[in-house]
Amino acid sequence: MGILTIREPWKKVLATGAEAFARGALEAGIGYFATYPGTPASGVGDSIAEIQKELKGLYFEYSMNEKIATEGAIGAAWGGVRAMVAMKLAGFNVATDALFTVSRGEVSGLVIVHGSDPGQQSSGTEQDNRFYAPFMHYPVLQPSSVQEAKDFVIKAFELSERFTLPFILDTPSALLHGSGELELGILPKTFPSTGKLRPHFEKTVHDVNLGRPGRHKVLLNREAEVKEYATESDLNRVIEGDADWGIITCGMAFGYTMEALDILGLKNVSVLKLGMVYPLSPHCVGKFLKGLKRVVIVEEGEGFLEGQIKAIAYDLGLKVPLVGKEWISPVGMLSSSRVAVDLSKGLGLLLPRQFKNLPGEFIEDTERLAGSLAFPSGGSIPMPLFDAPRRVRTFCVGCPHRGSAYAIKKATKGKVIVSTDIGCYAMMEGPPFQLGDFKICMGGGIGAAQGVSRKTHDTPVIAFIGDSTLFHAGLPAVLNAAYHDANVLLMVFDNRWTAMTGHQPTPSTEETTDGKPLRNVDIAKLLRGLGVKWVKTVNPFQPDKVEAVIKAGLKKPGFKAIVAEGECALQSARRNSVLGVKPKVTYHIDTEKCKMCDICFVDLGCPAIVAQQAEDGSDIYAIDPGLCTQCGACISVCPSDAIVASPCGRENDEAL
Amino acid sequence: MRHFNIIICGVGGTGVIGLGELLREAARLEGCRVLSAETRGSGQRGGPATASVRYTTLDENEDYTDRTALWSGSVGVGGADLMIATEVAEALRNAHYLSEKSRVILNTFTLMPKQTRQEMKSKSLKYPSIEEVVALLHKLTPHVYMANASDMSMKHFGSYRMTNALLVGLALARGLLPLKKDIVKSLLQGDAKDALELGFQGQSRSESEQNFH
Repeated sequence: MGILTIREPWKKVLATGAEAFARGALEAGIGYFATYPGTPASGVGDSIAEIQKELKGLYFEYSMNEKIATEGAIGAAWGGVRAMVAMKLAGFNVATDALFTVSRGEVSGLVIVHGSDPGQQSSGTEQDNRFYAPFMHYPVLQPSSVQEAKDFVIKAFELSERFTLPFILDTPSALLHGSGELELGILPKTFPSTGKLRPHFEKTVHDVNLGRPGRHKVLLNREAEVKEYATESDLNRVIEGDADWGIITCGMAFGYTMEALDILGLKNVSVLKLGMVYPLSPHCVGKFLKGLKRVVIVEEGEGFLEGQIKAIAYDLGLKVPLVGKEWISPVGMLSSSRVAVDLSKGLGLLLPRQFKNLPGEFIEDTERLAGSLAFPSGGSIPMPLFDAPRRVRTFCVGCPHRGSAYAIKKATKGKVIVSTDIGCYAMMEGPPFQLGDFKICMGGGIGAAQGVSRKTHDTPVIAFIGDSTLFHAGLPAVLNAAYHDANVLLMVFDNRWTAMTGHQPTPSTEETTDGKPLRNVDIAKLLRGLGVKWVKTVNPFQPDKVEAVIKAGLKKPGFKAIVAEGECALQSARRNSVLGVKPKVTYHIDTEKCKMCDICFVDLGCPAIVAQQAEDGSDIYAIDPGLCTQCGACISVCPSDAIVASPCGRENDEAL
Repeated sequence: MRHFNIIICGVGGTGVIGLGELLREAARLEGCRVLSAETRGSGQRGGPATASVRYTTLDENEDYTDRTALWSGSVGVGGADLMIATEVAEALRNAHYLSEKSRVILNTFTLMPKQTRQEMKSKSLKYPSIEEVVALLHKLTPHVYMANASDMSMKHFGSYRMTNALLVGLALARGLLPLKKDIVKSLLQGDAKDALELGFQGQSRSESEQNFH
């Protein structure tokens, strides 16, 4: 049962961090929630999406991108309701244009959940977005537990209204994806379907006053007020100890620090836990520093607190030695083990018994330790003790992208520059396809392809994009490429869903998984409307036909597009399961005809095609009926007509 | 205050995350404070999958404090009380969580990575045998229990889907999990209830001995 709609105050439940942020928003009585999915932040919006129909008055949307989500929330907040947005680190980059400008105006009741990704398990960059805070002059809170995730959201709304500033909650994947105990609060009966324009709307927002000179000063004054508040705030607290040194920490690093101190048997070290990491109160920090012989700053990411604390110490004339990133590298995810090793090295302590098997290089370089403890999703990271076979992610069985990749590889023979983008099709970069020369950011592939194509006339240039990424940031780039007629072939992989982040709907989604039709955007028509003259639609489950269209496309001068339309196999399977649709055919390999040419097994690389031994001991290929989704791509590529479809016996009879 | 740390490892798509959910919910129902962490994303697509579950039980008149509570859902280096490896090679990948006190339940199931077909063709891909894996694990801990739960699942239920319920049953029978069988069972449905029982009791004595030694 979902924890978001439980109406039993003070009940203790087990929740993920993402659910706790969402529950906090509901308990705070929000009227508007918008998000664009992105790991690790997707779960916040997804958990609200699941139950939005039960919440009268609450408006929820999956926006086209994070900037639009944020702008919508800003508007709703001006309209008098509390509004929340959730996004991953890269999405925050997209939203900053709106956030920088609006900071000069006034907005209250706006909270942004920002999902960071130390260790880059699912992100193109490892970046510490807390550094936007002093730049934008927005306060940032970092919760340390599932409980604080909820409590800090509620607190952030109160403070956002008090100081007329957006508040940012910064949280890593470890909290968003982790679970822990959560004590629930009171859930409002209804949510505000209408609001009353906030008082500051008249004063500073309307009449295009947002960027007026003089606003900068107002913003700095408000930041000073928050700094004053931080002196007394219960968001920051001290865990008292009588050692002559101390630790300042925040967010998940607080928990890692407490566990590390326990591992090292250091039970008397004072710890200042900062819930608000920007702005810092010089009074609060100074009081902690005074009298200590050394203070270690333990934070995940770069030295954000460290820089601020060193500045405060300098201003107050405190000579206490401060150490931060010198001991704890900014690279990779932190963990209790990593903090324990780093502290023991810095303090010159012996490591406790549980580390005795760990090879020296992992103790020397705890970034390596971070990699092995962060559940490496790539599966190719060397592990500390024993080698295990490389296990890298691949396309799911029945994925439409597999047929597209095969066709592109075949049509171009690898003599092509591929500008790829963010989405499942990025897995074409790996074996057996190796398609993807570079990738920038959401929608960045089309723009970069244009530039490359202007200067590399001998090699054709193909730009990749998926449906959701096209809607997110690809459309202006398409318009640009078509308008300036760049010599680029655009491949749009329309799998009907924002698949990689957990199958959120997108404008190209035709039908929900329980069979309800959705408003559907025809991407081929859209591209024609943007001025692309040559647009073809293909079926990726017939790679041989796709190959022919790609060859034809590459012969056309200028900007042209091919849309590969095939639904994500996981979503088709879910719908079939809900609606009770059984497959009509099964596929098998006729070993008499199969020449073991490896086209289906290696080049197409479908995991449902398996190597087996026949009864006589000879090597054969077969189709695993438990895995096959009957997508048909293998039939299309087999040169020997060895893959045969036969009607399903019993299920078919029952259906009749 | 007692802590119990479990690391579950296997391949994405084989129920590693679901097994973590089962064990954390069961512990919560038993009144433990529970924390957990898990792989997301690529784990679904045939990559390595890991879930970590940590329980805390309080003694009488004891309360949580900042210094004694667990904060992170992730098990630390050498910190696992129990490892459940649903695939043999994944036990090696996660061996740094083990100490001489750790118990390991090793499901004797092998799932070759599918993506490097060229390597498989040229036979350059070396896959560790079960004996090799056990020998390496024995360097760290003497407590390695092998179970061929995948084969039992296929034999009794016609698919691999009951593997994890069987493993939990086997673990409970050996006293490797500090949970009550009835509570775990109440969270399962259909065949999984039977699989748990089958793992717990062993359909026949000889099969149980053969399957779990």
